[in-house]
Amino acid sequence: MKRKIVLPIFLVLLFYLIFSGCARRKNPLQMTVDQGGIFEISIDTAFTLINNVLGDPFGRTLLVYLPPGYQEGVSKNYKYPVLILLHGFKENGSSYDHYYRIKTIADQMISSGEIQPMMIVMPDGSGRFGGSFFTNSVYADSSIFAGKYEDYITRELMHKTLYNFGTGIPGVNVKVNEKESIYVNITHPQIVRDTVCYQDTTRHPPCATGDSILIRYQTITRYDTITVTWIDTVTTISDSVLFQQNFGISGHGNGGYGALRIATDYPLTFGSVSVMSAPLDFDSLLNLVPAFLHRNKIDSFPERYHQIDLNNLDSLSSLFFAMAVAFSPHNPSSTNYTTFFKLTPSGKGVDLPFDSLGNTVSSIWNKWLEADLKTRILNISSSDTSLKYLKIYIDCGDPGEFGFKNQALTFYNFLPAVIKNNTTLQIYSGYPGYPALENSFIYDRLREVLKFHSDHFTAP
Amino acid sequence: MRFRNVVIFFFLVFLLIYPLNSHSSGLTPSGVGTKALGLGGAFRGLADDWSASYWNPAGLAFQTKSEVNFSFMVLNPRPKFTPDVTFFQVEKDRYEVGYRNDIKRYPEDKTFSLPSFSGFLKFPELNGFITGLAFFIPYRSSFEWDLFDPLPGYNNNIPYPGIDHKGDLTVLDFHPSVARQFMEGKLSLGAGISIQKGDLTLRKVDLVPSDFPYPYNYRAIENFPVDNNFEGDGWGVGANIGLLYKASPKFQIGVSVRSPMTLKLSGTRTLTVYLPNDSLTASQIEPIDPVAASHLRGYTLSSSFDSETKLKLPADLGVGVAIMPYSNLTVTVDVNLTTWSSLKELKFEEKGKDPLTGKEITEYTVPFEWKDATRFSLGLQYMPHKSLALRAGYFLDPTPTPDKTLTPLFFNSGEKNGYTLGVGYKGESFELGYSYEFSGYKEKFLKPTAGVKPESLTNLPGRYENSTHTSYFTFTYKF
Repeated sequence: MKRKIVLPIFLVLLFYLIFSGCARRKNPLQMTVDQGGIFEISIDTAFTLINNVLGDPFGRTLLVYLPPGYQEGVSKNYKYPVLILLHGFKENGSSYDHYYRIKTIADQMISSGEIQPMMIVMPDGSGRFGGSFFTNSVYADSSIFAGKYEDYITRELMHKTLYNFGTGIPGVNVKVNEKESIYVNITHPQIVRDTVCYQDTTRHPPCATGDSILIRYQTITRYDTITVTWIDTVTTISDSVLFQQNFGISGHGNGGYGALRIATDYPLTFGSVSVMSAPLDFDSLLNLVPAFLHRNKIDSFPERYHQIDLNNLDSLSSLFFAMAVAFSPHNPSSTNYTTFFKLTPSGKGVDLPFDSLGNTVSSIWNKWLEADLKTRILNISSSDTSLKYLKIYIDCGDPGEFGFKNQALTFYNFLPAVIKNNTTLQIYSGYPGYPALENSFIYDRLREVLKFHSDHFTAP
Repeated sequence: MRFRNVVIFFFLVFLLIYPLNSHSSGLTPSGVGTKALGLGGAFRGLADDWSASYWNPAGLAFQTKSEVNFSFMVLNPRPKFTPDVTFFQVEKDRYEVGYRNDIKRYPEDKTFSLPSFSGFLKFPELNGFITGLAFFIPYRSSFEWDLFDPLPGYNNNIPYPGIDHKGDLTVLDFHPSVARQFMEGKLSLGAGISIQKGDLTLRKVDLVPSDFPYPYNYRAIENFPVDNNFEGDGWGVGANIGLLYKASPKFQIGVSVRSPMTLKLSGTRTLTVYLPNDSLTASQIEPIDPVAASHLRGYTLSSSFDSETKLKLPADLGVGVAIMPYSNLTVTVDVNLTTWSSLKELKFEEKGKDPLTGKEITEYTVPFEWKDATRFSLGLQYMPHKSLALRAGYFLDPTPTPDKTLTPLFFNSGEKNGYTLGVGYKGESFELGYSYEFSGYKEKFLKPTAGVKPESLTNLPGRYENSTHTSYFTFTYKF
């Protein structure tokens, strides 16, 4: 009797001990990544770039990333948030696709729920020396020099692509890769230029309880020419905030400068802006002048100043000339040629802000300072609270090639408290053998940038 | 009688079933022998069955009869590894290179059996002289992992292998032994020769900086992943000796020494470079560096060549005591030092070509830099009946692996606490035995080290968790 009990217990225990822990375990399956798409759009004639004196192309292509779930030709129930992503120096609109794998990153992050689905628009702002800084390169009378790139972004591009892909109006036909057509609706063919309180138009929202807000729209009424009309429209606060918060702009290097400049010029159009490794404090650029002179052997032979081979510039020299194209076109009526560099057969060109001895030429330098973001923000009237709602993200590698890290720190420290409170600064490092240079970690920083904007977009 | 038949039947069923499931994997076994493992490996001072040839050959001299033995061990390792293979200068900025970080990974789970057998002839008329041959598997470790895939955007045309990390070591020991009594049966001496056959597979990912000129060496193509796979086998010879002194019927002490051993392994090492695919960048690099441009086509480059290495296995010095306060109770205690510091590295000597650069390769080193480890074991045997023995044991076994070379290839991640139970049944001419061991490894979280380059990575940071379940069966026939 005793054995009859002991034996089964013994056997059960034995089996348990032998087989305990034998179960086969499975590794987690690879995440299924829903696929979005990158579409290339050709703009045959950008009217803000046509007639530029440098002969840079006025026909441009841009890439648009459409998230998984986007349905062509279907009127959407909600608008996808839109991020405009401006490329870096010596890059172009396709760089984020080819070099930094924006589609792979966005697909993965959207599928994993790290970011909300969004459209990403990547325009081309390349210029003769590597970058346009996405600014309006114009003479003092606002006539075009190298191209009105800021207008290109805020007027032509946003109108022709963002709203078309986002919501659209029947009958607007946007060619995609010249094969497919997407028929879309436009419900908001305008760009918000300013928003003020209805009762007191000198004030910005939030307004007093019960008050309405006045949105000043900038409307493009035709596609082949730029006609700007100002319209005052009364709307509710919630509509305005939704509209604004679903637009973000970002950029790297020369695109980072452009992104922050455009966002601060149109603070009520963009709810968030991110800047990756960009020149944010032009004062610090003067520290690079000796290196410029040395690399072009001007420090030893000042007479070589005007003999610089503009077709074979190193990256630092290209940066200075690209900035000169953007910020200091030579005034055709000026006879001062001390720092002049001829760029066209007709004699048009640019001025550098320093001479052959490295001395700053104040008349030119002041033009650069007018474009300096730190200076521009410092000059904003303390009563102007338009930037109060703009969320800003700034990052830079340590070390940066062009001293952008110190520029970012200086810029951040100079920000008024009301803006600084909405600003995130990230200085990042690489790892040994792979330092955080100008563009060495953009692949990784894009994840941070997408997360930042997604967090500030209004969830659909 | 009926009880015995049931047990024998049960035992034979397992003998039939388990070889069908036999695979080659597991951790380094805690030792050999049902009785020894039931006592937590505290056996040097007792050494009264065939496994004395492993623990302390002097104990063989006290065997009363000739015998043959068949045993097998069933191992179930349950490791988990959560990689955190990141690189950085500053803690907050971590960058990945393709390891499946922050995801708990399991190796290919298998259940394994390790057989052993022995036969000893006893010559009572020659002062207890005994001689014979044992076969056992002193080292067995095998883990196959899927831990790596190139970064998104690498776009390699040929998928990276699923099993990308593998550490597989088998050492078979053919072990002739002799032993004899001295001092009228109070003292015995024994010795054995280890003729060992080793098989080693070592597969891992090496990251090599890409040769694309700046700024085209952007993420995620700044490194080429290289599938590095060595497979080889070879032989080695060593020895062990032991002494067992029975001071009184209630106390005996044993000392044993196992010599270090070098297995000379010959085989093949294969390097396969998985290249990224980016035709646009290739077209831009082409005028500057056409060779580098050719490395952007997404294919593989491979090279296979003869390779030799020496696996230096450790010596072991142990001392154990057995105390019998009552006739049916035995307490055993062992302490042993294993000189794992002999395993500094695996240095491969070879003559091959780098598949990427075409340069000659003459050697390659995998660092180990293991440390000596001292194990403490405690055992208890109670015999409620003259035919039945119940056993329990405990051991504490520190890891020999330092943080700087810790990888899941040989999963010695942390201090090991072992708990054992055993049972033995003794008939007139046979013995049956079973033991069970649970080993729990202290969880280890190895943090990445700032400043380490991908190409000089010698460990795999992450969270290491492990436990093992081991069953051991023995059947002995005495004549």
